[in-house]
Amino acid sequence: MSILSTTSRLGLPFVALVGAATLVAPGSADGYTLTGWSLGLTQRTFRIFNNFSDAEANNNTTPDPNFPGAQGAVMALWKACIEWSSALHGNGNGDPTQPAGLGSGGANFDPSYQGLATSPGVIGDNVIAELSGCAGGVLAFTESFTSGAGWRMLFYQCWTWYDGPNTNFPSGGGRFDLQGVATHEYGHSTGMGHTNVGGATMFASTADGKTERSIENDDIAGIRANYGAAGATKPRITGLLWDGSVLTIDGVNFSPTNNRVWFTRAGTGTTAAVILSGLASTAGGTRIAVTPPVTAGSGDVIVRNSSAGGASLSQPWPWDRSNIQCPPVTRYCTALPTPSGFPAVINFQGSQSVAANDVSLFVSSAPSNTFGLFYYGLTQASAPGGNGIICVGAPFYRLPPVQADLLGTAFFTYNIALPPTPAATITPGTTWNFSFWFRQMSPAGYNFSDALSIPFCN
Amino acid sequence: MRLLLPLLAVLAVGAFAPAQIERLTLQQMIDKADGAVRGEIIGREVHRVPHPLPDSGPLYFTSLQVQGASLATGETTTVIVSYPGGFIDDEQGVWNSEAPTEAETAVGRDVVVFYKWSGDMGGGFASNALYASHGGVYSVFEARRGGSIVQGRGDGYAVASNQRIDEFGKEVARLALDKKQREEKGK
Repeated sequence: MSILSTTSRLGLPFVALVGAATLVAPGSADGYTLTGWSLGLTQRTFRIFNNFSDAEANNNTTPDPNFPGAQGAVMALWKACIEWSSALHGNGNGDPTQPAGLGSGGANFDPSYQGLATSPGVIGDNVIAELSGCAGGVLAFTESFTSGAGWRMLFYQCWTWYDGPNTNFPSGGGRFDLQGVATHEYGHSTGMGHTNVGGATMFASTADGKTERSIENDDIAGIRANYGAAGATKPRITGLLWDGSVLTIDGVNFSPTNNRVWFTRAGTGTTAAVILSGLASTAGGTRIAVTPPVTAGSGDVIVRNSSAGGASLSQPWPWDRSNIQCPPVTRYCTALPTPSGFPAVINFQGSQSVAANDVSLFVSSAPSNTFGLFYYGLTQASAPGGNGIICVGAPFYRLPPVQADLLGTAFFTYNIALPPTPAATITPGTTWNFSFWFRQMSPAGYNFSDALSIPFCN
Repeated sequence: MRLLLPLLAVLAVGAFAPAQIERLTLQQMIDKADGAVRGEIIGREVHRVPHPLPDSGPLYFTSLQVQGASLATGETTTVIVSYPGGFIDDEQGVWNSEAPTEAETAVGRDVVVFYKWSGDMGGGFASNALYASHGGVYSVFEARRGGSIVQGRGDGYAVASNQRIDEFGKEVARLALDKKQREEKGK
């Protein structure tokens, strides 16, 4: 059999560049390749210098809660990088071609979005930018240190870059999907080479008009080969609650002590994440509460537990600093019945926003036409008092008296800008407990409603 | 040899420097490129170019001097083709995801290169760009039964499979002539 017929049957080059296998080593007989390096924990960050000049690269102005504060090219590039995350980024949404699917790597690798850069920077700054000029059929390239000490990613300006998320841009004419090409390039940044598996993100070439944004099985196998598959003990975030003061991070596999939380740095600055250290978890390693510093901005949050290496990092989870969510109002304490046989019940109308200042308290099932007053404090109690239960611990603060109507209902609109005493000032991030004291015809002459615990936010 | 071939083929795939390049057939490559030359690499130089934007690290470009003959016309020629990336020395240079490997571009190698003039490959660096970087250079080897073979690289590359260089040259010449006729018709 001749060489030609043999190679023709194989459909592959018949003479190998054995000596050329310098930087890229095969990862499997038929599939992903690895460059021979991996990124250390200090190199998991990335930033974007948004000098993309095509109108099409920055015409997506629709906000996406999974990418707070970003739009256009920035959002597309952010999506591209976090597709390599170990687990879903937030709810995984953001790309119509992979609904609920962004964050597919399943490896001990998680990138940290660090916002905008002020220039393309140097290799090791881990910045993504556009480069004026053209080099033939080269769309974009990644420059790296061969030690894994960082990278820089540049997109040639001579192509027309589309920021998505829609996929309906025309083929031909040098139009390329920014997110799709960036997903490929970020694979290089992590230490992935090319694959010969068609349809994989790390396949060497792509055609214009295509939107190949998801990493596929071969890519996933590659990132897991380079960083290890994410194990059962790797931390994972399942949700955030931001009340304007405290960020409560829910998840699994947080260490009892010495956790760290990485934040996206606010504004433009350095590559390094804002990191809070020495954090304890509660609820069996499922909750961490932190006060984000002013240097932390909207972006992603990552929890690092006290273990080592990439296995210590959670997946990135979006956090919008401007989207303050109050914890829910909760009811507690059991009131004793009034002479009518029913306990008085306190309720709340309005919002928990201090800025809105629209708190209304009301009570129902109190004795008809009785006098009483709402009172509140920072601590909860459950102690006998009068003919009922005192539900708020001392010190507590009294609001002006009110009279119930014939049905036993009383209202009070509380202007929280005018507290009864400075110590009773309600501020964002504080939780206050409210109850109602009232007179009744009984041996002690007074009783209490049940109570509400009301967290307040900005 | 039979056993060795698949192994060598795998190594060859692994040896390609990573990239995201334009997917091209041979006809598309001919249509887009200014020319194609088969010849020997007789010179290799890496250039350091300031980035066009402030506060940004330099760019590096590798230039290859290829002496041979145009595949379109058969005329002897020497061209300089360049691609992003390369190392001046151990301290100066960069690994570039688009670049062909050092071995693929070593002085003395017999290659086919496709190129297109670019007045600015980045930082104002002007040169014939090796079209599609690593997708624009293909090694040529002597066949055991005589003649030479240009090494294909698989799906997505302008030279997808191995071809005898004389037949390949004829195909390139035919496509180049076709391109020229189309261009003249369009004038």
